[in-house]
Amino acid sequence: MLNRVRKRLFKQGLGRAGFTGNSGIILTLDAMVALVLAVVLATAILSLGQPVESGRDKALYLRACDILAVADKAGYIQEAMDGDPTDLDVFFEDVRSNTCLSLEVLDSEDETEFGRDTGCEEIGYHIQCQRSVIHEGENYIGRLRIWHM
Amino acid sequence: MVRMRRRAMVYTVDMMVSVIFFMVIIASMLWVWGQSQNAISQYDNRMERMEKLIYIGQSLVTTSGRPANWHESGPFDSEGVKALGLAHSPNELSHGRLERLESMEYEDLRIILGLGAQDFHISIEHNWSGESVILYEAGQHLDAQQIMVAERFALLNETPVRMRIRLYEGG
Repeated sequence: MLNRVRKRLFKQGLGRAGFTGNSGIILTLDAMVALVLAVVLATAILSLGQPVESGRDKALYLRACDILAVADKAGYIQEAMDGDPTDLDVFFEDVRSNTCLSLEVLDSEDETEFGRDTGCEEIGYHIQCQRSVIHEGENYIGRLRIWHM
Repeated sequence: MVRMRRRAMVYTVDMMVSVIFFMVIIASMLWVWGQSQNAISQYDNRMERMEKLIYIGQSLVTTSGRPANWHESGPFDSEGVKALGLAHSPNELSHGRLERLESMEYEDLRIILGLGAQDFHISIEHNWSGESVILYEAGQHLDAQQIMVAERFALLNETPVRMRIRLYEGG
């Protein structure tokens, strides 16, 4: 039967090579279609996670900036730098909400002048916000990191 | 003749099985595709709402609004006020603006915040980690199952306060 098909194909100018070649083409087309569909599906599925991450990162960044701004404007950072971190610790506990916070105050040479954190294990990834902090007429950089588990 | 028919039968069954198999694959692919499209569209809507929420929070907590004296004018003019802002400087809220926000009509607020038909609730709370005290609020507090919440922190009279903006789904 196969021989008869081959003979017919041969008569039609496809020949043995054409027959196997056709099978090859069919397989290649199959594979290509499957590949394209797999890529399209994978892209669609992966794209589901990205917006959530970017939205969450933006919200975390704004939260970090809010915390740093309030701690600075309320004078908690300055008090802590003077040796009384009570208000800063209370404020951090109020706003941390299942995250870890760490604050660094850097001088003009990028050396850490002061540091404080919420004491929990800093795992996962972090988002940070920076702003200028003035203490006793000196300019510092306040850097607050939110560690998201 | 019999042999031919048998062979033809084999080919027909073979072909039918392959067609059914192919149809099942195509149908499942179409189903997966439809489900993905549906999920993507839902995510797009959620993202749009999240972006809107972030934008509203940022505008209220860090700006004075446009014009900056929108809270001082007489009757509220939704065409004259371009944007609402509750801060006299970034992260420092002003009582005057908050009082004005509270006295505004719900529909006017929805228009100016760009929320269309979506329901919302804004609250300014003090002592939120203990017995929370709501100092100011605007909008409608609903018992919806799906709520999107944005939290912002600011100072009001040198005291830390939390602003919560709730956006209710399905509006």
